[in-house]
Amino acid sequence: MPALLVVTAGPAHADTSDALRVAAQLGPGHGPAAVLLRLVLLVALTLTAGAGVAAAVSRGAPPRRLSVLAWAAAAVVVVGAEVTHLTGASTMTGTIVAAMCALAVPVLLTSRWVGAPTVATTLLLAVGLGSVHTGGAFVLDVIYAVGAAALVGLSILGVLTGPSTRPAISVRPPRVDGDDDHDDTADENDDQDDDNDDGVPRDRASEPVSRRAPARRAGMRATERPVAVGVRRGSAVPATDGGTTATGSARAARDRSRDAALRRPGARADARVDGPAGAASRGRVATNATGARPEEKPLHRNGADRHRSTVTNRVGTRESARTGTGPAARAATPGTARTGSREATRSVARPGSAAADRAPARAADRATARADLDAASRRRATGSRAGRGTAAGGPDATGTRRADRAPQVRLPVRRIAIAAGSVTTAAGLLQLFVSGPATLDDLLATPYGLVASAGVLLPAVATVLWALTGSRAGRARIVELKRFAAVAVGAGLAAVATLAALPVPAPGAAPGEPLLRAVDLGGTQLAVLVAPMRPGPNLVQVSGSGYPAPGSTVATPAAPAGHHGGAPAGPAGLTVDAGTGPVTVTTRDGATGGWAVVDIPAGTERLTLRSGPVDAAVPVDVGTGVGAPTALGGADGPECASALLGTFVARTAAGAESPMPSCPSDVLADGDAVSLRAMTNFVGEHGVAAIRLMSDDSPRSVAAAAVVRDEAARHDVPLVDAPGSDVALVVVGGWAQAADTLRTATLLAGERPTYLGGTFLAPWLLTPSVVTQAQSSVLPLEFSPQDTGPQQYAAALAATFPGAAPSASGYLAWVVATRSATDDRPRLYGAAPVDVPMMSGPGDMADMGHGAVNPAAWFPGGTVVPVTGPLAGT
Amino acid sequence: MSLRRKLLLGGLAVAVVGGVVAVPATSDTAYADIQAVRSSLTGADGKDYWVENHVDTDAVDSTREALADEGKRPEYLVVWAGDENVADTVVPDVKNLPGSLANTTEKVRNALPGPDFMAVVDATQGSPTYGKVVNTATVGPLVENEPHHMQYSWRKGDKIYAGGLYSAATYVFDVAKLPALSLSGISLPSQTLCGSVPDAYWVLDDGTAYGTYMGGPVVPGPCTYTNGEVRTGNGFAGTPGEVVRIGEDGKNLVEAPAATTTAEDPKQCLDMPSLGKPSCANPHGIQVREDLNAMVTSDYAEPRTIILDPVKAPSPYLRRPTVRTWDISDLNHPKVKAVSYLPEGPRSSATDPLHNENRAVMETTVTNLPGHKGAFAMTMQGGAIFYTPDITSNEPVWKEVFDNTAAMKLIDPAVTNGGPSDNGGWLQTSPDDTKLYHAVIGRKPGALGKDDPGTAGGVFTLDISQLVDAGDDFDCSIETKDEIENGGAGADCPSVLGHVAINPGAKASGPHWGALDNLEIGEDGFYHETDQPTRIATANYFVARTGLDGDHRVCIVDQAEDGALSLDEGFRDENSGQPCINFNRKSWPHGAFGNAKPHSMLFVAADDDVK
Repeated sequence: MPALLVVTAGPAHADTSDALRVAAQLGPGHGPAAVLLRLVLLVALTLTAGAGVAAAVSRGAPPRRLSVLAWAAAAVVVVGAEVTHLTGASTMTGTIVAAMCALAVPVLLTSRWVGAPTVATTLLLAVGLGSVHTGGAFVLDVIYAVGAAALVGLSILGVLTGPSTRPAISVRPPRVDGDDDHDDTADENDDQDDDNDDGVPRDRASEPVSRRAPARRAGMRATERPVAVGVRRGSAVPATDGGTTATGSARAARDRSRDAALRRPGARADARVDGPAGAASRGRVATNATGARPEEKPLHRNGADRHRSTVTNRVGTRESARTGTGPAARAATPGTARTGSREATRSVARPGSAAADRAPARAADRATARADLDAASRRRATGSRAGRGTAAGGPDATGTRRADRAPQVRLPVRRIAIAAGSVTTAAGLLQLFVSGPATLDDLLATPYGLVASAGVLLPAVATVLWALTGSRAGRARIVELKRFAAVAVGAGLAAVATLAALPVPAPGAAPGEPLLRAVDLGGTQLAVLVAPMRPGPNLVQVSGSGYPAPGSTVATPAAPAGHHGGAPAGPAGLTVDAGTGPVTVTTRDGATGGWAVVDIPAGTERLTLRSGPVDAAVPVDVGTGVGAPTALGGADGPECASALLGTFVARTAAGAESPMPSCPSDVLADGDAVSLRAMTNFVGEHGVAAIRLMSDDSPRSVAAAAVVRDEAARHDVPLVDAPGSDVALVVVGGWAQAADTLRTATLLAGERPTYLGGTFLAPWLLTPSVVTQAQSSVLPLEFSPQDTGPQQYAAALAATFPGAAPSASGYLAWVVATRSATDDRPRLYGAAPVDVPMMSGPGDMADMGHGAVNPAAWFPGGTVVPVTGPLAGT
Repeated sequence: MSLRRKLLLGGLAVAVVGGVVAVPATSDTAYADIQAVRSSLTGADGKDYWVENHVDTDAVDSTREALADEGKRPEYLVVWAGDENVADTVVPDVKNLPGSLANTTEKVRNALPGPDFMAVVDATQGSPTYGKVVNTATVGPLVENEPHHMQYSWRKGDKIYAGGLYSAATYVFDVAKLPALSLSGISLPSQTLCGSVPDAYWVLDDGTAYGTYMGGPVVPGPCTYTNGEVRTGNGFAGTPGEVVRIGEDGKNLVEAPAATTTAEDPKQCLDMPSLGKPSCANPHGIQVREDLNAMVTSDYAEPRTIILDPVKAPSPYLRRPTVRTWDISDLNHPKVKAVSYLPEGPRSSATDPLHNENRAVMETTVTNLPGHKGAFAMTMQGGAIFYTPDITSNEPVWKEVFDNTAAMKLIDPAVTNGGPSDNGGWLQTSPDDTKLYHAVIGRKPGALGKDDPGTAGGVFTLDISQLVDAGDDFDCSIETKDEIENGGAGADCPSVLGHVAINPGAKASGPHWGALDNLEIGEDGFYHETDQPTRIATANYFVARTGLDGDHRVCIVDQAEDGALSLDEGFRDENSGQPCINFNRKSWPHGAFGNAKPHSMLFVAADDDVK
């Protein structure tokens, strides 16, 4: 079964990565129907398992209400499982397993095998609850589920049995091993403890029987106040039906006994122990041999009876003592025998039991009872049809069904419940530390935090309620307390189940560590990156599109949803404020998304994002130490941020925390230098008339320009300052400069032949906002954007930070963080749009890109493919 | 446990299992016992490329046995299809226990484009698995190829040549062991430096193939072709394109320029960026008459467009009005013999050049019989069909012989001007040169103005027997409004034989492509080539990125002896039970990769089943 569960459950994962948390919050998540179905199923599984637990820990036949509860809960599980199967959300195997396990609980509720489906159902519950976690978080979910199921079961038992349903006499099945007597005695001691632990008022139990009103008890119907016999489930003695003898008034019992005797003229006093028939025929219970002395031995009339005499009548509980000592009980005992109960009539008084302690005072009663027992034994009718009938679960002579009788608890329920509640609470608390939220703000101000808190507090409340049942005041309201406990723990489990559908808040900020987190701005989910998280200028990147251009307050047209991977429009008029005044979020040439450079003073605790009347806080912690200036605040900030995002999306829960990279524009990487040299060599050999080199003043660009100049000189290709038809354009500047250069070149090329020598870009210029500005371009790359790694990086980035485009710099950071590899030698790649818009007019433009949206495209609406082999000289 | 409880438990168990098993889940058919078998080779770049078969062996074996009992053999429809996009191919929800929720971030973690693939569909008439996808042969490692065209028909022994529009790669598949495929070769863009964006193929008698590469050289600037000639192009997906001869092993045998050495009409042939010698050479359709040493290619459009202004349509002159006839007497030295500008028709106007009859010559088809030397061409935006009686001529004469308006009013009776911008695609003569088949997507509402309701799409058949038999002196020419609406008045003008609407209730949702079933099972139980095809396969997809996406269904159209067309209602989707095979589904034999885009298809049988 565990293997099957693992197989059908599939993998579960924890998501402690910042990027994945943001992706979860910004992603589509689970639909409300799926979440509701999960809640219903898990709560129903909990109730089913709880019913099984209640039946398992009780010794007697379960109350009818428990059976009804189990059936109802199991039915909900079956229906819910089928619904999930019909919606394609669960496997056939998983559905069948869940349904069968749940149904087995009520079916086997009165069987000794009820434990098996209960355990299976609890495992299903545990796996379902932990389906969104793995590792330690998964284990904590499992513990939580098991504890909650146990606590719910015990609470249900307490509610259903109530203070009035008291274990009285338990009738064990006949055993052939006389040693069982010893065990039974031990069990009885446990039962005694149960009574105490169960919160049953001890004073009443210890009340001398003589003080009670015999007539009142005798006149009480068994259905109102079950007495006498608990039935061991699944024994050959179910029979025990007969054991409930002290039902009805003494007169009625006598009448029924007489009638039964008349109906079984051939009844015999002997019994067999082999086979159901024999079992059905034996075991007349002299239920109320309560006066048995501790030293009293089983009665053996002959060899055969000796064999059977190991069967013990559960004597000695307080209830049985009360019942057995009264006249009604005495009158009922023979009546019971005559009604065809099949339990062996031997009674054993166990040392230490309350009844036994009181035995000396009631010697006369015991003698009478023993006489009655003997008489009943002699009169028992083996194999009578009436006996078989009741053994099959039908009503006994009083009309009381077995299911209506009270169960008998045989474990220290209260202690177990408190322990289960404590474990559940502890598991929930530990889960908070393991899975978050990590900050008090998030714990108190986010849906996840509030629900997670409920998942801890509610089982704690249930535990306290159970503890109160041991107090004097609690005993008076024991049923209510247990009912509240059941509801509380059930609600707690539902809360934990809900967490799977809620995004986990991001971890708190740390000085010097770029912060990536999701922000809910008036219902609009935004991804926000703040770097470098040091006092002074910080670059803030916000997901979305349609922000105004720098220096403008007019929003740029947002890319239509689905058009070339366009991100959703960002909030209008978005500003960022670190307490020093709002800074408008704007576009940046060569980059996507919204940007702002915000001066964050030391000691600032939060940034405020504001759009009109709505705002949201981003907890920050820039510390006090001023870091070295970075390119983040300059023109190359977006590329630098892209590299940071590449590292963020590379980090996984199981992976090592890779250090954040420095800004790529700070230095010309060796690999880029090699690529540029090889590309310029290719240009030179391609036969162009001249090269127009475009660069900027970043350290990387200056070094790159030098490489190109040297290589062009080696090929005697002149550098020119103006466009021309046979000129090759080589761009080695930053994103902003490249985008502007290419846009200008494209417009020029529409007017006259321009740059027919080709447009060649530095490797770091592979990002959509740059390459889409050119009709076609060529780049030297050490990776193919069509390979798995770049596709995976781009897809993760798109999900984490909608609108953030993949870039070569971001991918290379991802490569470092994931310890992946690039190609050994660079190749030239051609990048160009490939589409023939079929629109006939403006109205058709909106349809472009329909069905072909790839939010992770390296070239939205185009392609980037290798056009050469490994470049010479590399 | 009592007998009663045993019975109760047993009954419940049966009910639960029965309910789960008998009531199908909404998810698509689960493919069990699929074993992946990979065929791989090393490409010119030193990397491994492969095709991986996912054959439903149970279905294949049982069907073959069932057919054998009837003396039949299986015939397949091989469909070249692309994974829709990354948004649909993220890892699907883990099939969990009821009540479980998978971590949504796992989708992010594993979000990758799905593989493109060849779908092998049982197309055997009378088969118990008629319409079932019995294999998906996925290609790798290249993703987002944008599967496009293959050759127009398949003959015994032929390889299948299939191109990727975006990957600029041509795959060569061996289908001798259908339903399993193997990879015979792959041509990478670095092997075809003078062209890009491969489109369509024609398999020659020796098994090699000519392929049209619609886009310009992969690197802007001058490019030297196999014959030593040089043309200057404006780069990948630009202009001019070329024709490539590809070997069965995928090797590039010949790169031949489609552009001439002289400048073409600068107005009709707009290039972006503009070239010193303007050219319309963007070959799309291709058909060959080896017996005539002639080849015809049709220029469609420069396959890239920079959207400089999001509210302004690109220039209509990026769509080409030209057809090129080639001399292929030397198969390794194909030469453009003539560049023909199709004539403007009676609907043409200077104010709306996009919808002039001659705009965007997507496809061309040749006549087949030895006595015939003609060819047809169609225009996607123009909505007309043109004909020349002699493709071997140094100056072929092309005339408009049919305006699709006359057929579109049959497919969509609600419209009267269905020709312009009807988005026609597949054009094919019947092997006996008596019929001309044409698939049309239909026009999107608003294409001709805000009051334009658009048109539905479908397939229609023209009777071309008289036109073809008329030889060089054919009389047909569409010149009047009445001829636009009712067909040409000339005695030899084509007339509509049959028509069928595909998705009749939806505008612009018809098929872009089609294929004739040129295989016919003989009394010997083997398949033979036939010149009287009775079935046509169609696919409702063009190129999603262009705005013409379609509903991704593949249908079969039956043709009666009188030429009447009707949808094959028996060719049904194995999941939905509806006519036509829906490529929008969650699961495939290769996994739950979601929707796919079927562009082209071929009727094929295993070599052992064909004579």
